[in-house]
Amino acid sequence: MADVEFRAVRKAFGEHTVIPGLDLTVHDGELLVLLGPSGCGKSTLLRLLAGLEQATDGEIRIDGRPVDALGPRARNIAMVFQNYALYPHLTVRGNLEFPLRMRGMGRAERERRMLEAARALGLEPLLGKRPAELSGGQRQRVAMGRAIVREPDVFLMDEPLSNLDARLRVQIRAEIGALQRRLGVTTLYVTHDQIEAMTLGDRVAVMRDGVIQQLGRPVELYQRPANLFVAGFLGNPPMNLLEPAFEWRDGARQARLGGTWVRLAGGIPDQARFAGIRPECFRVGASGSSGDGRQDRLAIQGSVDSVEVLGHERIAYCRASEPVVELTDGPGPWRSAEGLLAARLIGSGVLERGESVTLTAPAAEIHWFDEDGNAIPTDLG
Amino acid sequence: MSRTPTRLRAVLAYALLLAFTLVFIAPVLFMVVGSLKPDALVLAEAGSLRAFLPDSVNPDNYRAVFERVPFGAYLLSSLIVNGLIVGLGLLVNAFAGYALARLRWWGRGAMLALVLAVLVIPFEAIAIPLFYQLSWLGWRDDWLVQAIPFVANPLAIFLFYSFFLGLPRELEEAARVDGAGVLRTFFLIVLPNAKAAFASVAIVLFLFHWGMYLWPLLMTTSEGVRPLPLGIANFYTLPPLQWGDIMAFGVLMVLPVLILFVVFQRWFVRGVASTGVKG
Ligand SMILES: Nc1ncnc2c1ncn2[C@@H]1O[C@H](COP(=O)(O)OP(=O)(O)OP(=O)(O)O)[C@@H](O)[C@H]1O
Ligand SMILES: [Mg+2]
Repeated sequence: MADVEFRAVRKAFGEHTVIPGLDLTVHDGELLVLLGPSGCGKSTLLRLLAGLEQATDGEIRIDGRPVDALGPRARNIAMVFQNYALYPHLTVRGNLEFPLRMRGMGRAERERRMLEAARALGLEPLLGKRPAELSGGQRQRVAMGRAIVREPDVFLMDEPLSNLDARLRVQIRAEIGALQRRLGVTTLYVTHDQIEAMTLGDRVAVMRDGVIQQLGRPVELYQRPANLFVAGFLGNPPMNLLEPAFEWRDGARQARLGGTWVRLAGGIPDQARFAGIRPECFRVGASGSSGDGRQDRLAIQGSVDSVEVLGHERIAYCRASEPVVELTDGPGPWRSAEGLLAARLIGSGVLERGESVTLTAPAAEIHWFDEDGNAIPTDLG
Repeated sequence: MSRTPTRLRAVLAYALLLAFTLVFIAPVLFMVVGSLKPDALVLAEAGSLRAFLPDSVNPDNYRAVFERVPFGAYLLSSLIVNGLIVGLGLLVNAFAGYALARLRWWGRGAMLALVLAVLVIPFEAIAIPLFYQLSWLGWRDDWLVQAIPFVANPLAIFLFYSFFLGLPRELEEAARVDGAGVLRTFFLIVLPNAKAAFASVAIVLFLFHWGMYLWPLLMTTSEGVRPLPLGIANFYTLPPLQWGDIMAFGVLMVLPVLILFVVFQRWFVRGVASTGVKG
């Protein structure tokens, strides 16, 4: 068991800098998820820790010991690859035993550990089969087994579920979580699936272009995104973003959202430029239903563009009179477009396409962001 | 479209293929049939279609091959020399191809370019300088000297190189993380998954060198170390000139190649089938 520390780690491939300088500590026994879009350097970070790549700069420590000069073998790390990388010429038994063999472990001990891992993952009936004879889920389990059999200090998992179908992904996700908690091995888990990140991670690090945007518990990230990138990356559909007009009225800075001037008890911060609202904060009412002059609610007129029915909930996409800012993965400024507002609705009720509606939300639920997309903390937000 | 033109086309295509096949197989057939005939008949019937029809199975020519020249010794030499070339060649070229494909070292790009450049130099161009070099060392007239210059083979290196490039890199990385060093990764993970490459290189090396004539002619003087191609050349010069005997020699010389091919063909198929790596 060990903690892992990245200190000012930089990685460049030739001219191309992938990780410009990263500090991160993974606590002992924790499952930390690296979440980010494709190409942001997640795999590179894992490979640096595994010793498959050399850092251009900086230091990596495992259990307080610098490992930069050590090869993969000496780091005592186990890795699960996205395509599993099972040895095709070996049986499941051979695959599970391989890491033990490489450590020069005696036959009896090897057998014992191999069977233990096989039992933990329900692989006993498959021991004599080769990878080509297994289903996707079974292969995934063998890859997990090969990782746990050695009792390593650190697990690395690089999108271990991305080759599975949706149902299996949910099931094995739960199994991985349970296994990791039971073994208590420090784990670095890479994914670009936010649900995996939210459900599995003790903490989640959201990455973009090799830079950690925010690190925290999943709820924290969801409830208090540090910037627009995190706000847009977590949550499906992502946070709605509006660019209101601001004005001093009645001695307070107010924002014009829809038909209403909205004010906050604590005042709207001076730097505020964008207003973000989660889809589940919206209430959908009949058109014109909420002018009632309240300044602690915003009310936006719109028409229903489409409705996605997802069983117990529905997502209504509404075309608003308001200019909606689209969150994009690219760098700001964020494209301003007459986009759609998403509202998540629980329960049933009829919404027709083209129907005029009013979207309302408490002003306290608004996330405020400044010019550069960084979140502005408010007392209530 | 009506069916007749397509059928007609198929018939024509097959006719063409058949014609080509006949052209290629005729000399071989001629040789096999000739080897079974009394010598007088070989030339007498050479001008007619009967040259391709055995009238009796007559092992006399085969017996003559063994009685008139030390065929066994030639065969042994050929097998040993080619065994050395293939055996050492598989190891050396696989190492070289792997180093070029996977290891990171200074000058790798230049070395790869060099290997490709050497590919186009015919052996005849370097045979004489090499001959002087080895004569100066006083090394000649044994099996090893016939094999060593051909162990490192640029085509084989290139075949291995491209095959290794195509292997999923994660397999080797998984092995490294699991605790294997470079050598164990190579022997325990890469090699078992590269059977197809080993089979093709073995066949290439064997075919290239089974008929080798110039180099052994330069390097050997004793009958005891001379390979089959020198043997058959020698056979021509032995009076009386018996065409039936020479045909029999030819058949015996081709046989090992056929056997090897049949054996390795199974490997080919298996090798290709087992590269279904991904999930
Ligand atoms: N060996 C390499 N040589 C050059 N560039 C590389 C190399 N490996 C990765 N990169 C680059 O580094 C960047 C990050 O790659 P990385 O594989 O870490 O992304 P990722 O976050 O894992 O993405 P994905 O979700 O698609 O797996 C990419 O732009 C990629 O092109
Ligand atoms: Mg990746």
